[in-house]
Amino acid sequence: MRLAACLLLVSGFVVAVAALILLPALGLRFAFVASGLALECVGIWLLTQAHRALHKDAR
Amino acid sequence: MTPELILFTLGCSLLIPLAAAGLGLIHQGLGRSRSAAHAMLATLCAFAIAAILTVAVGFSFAIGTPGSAHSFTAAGAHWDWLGRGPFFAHDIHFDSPDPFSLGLALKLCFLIFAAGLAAMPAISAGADRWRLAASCLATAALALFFFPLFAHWTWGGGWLTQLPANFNLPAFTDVGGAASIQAVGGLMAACIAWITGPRRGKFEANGMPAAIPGHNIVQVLFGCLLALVGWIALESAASILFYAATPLHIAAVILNATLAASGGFLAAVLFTRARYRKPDASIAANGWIAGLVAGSAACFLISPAAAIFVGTVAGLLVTWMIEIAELRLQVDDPGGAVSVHAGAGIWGLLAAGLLGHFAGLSPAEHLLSQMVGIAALLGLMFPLVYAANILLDRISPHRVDADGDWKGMDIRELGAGAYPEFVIHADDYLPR
Repeated sequence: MRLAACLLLVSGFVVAVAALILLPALGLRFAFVASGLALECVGIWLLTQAHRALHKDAR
Repeated sequence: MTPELILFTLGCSLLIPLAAAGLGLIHQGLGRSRSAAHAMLATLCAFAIAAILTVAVGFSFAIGTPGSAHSFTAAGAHWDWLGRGPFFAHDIHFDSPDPFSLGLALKLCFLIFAAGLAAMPAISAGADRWRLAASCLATAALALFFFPLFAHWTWGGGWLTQLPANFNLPAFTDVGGAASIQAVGGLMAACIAWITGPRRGKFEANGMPAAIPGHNIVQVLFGCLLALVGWIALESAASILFYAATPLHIAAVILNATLAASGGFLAAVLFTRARYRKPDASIAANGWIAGLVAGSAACFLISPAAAIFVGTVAGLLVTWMIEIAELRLQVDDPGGAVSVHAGAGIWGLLAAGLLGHFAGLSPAEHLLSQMVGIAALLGLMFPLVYAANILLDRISPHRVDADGDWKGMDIRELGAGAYPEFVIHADDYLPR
């Protein structure tokens, strides 16, 4: 779960950079960079859940 | 740079440690009394390690020799990703009057303190349970590589400042270190809070959090005032060194930093007053620091009215984020460092794009540049810092053992408490 979360974080960054390289129009770039950030937010949420589950077991 | 501006920059560099002193007082005051000495010692250790490693290695990665950097070309763009220069600042000749050495020496003075400041949020997030040895190792990793890496991208001519040449976008704006100091430090704080887990007794079996109030709110509030002085010095020095600010810009820095902190503080006071019927001093202190953090992205590039808005939103955001982290996500962050440094830092970066004065450039383009910088923070820096801390946890466990959980960090790791004759811990009398 933690590995998947980290992969999501990295893929968000890749989407954002790929948008800059591949898309010339500002609107499209904006949409894809925002999508990349949204992916990263999901990654952070997943990472939080993974650690929450770990510490729940410890409790 | 004029001699007056050089002297002023040196004076500012001298005052930056007050920001660390303020943050140190805040996070030890928000922790338990039985870990107070440990928290201050960890703060000083982090500052010392960061200073030595920045001079040894970090500076060459962050700034290096101008015009020489580790870079590659891909997809038709030039990606400058890490500085290159001799270690131990060997290219600075302190006995020579040349402006090249002077410029580098001033940046070195600034960066040794900035690296120390980046280590502060993690100490706050790991309060009452993060071992001293582990915190020293994590600080070393931060000062050796992670802080210099992002500092190079924003202040050393790295790829985020090359966005205009590569992608026809404005350069990423981070004047006072909202990204390279605060957000990087805040993200490391999140990693430490996750890896060390909650303090004993923080969450019940059903996940309900228990209140563990800070032990000295007077020191916390005094720390806020100290931090303001240090923050203004930090932002002024950064504005002069990396954004060629004039004395008029410095006046705007002082004004905006104070207004942003005031906005954040009052927003937190009013919000907690409305929500809980009485103002919460610890959350108000967090609102103050959040305002400073958010305002440091744009410094003199926004108007005073915009600084009040940025600080107010930061104060409200932090109040909400602290509650969500504790109640919904069950993350134990005793000083609210993740919300204050990462949350408010990222808001400040967005606000710099939305509200900054940039001649001849559209706010949409600027906002996009800021979003790219945030994507790099969350999508590249965060996994790197997280993986490094997981690895360090295997080498030297971050969390103190169960005995330390009961005795407190002062007795467990230092052998003596901060207040040996005055404080009684009620839970010392509970059966184990």
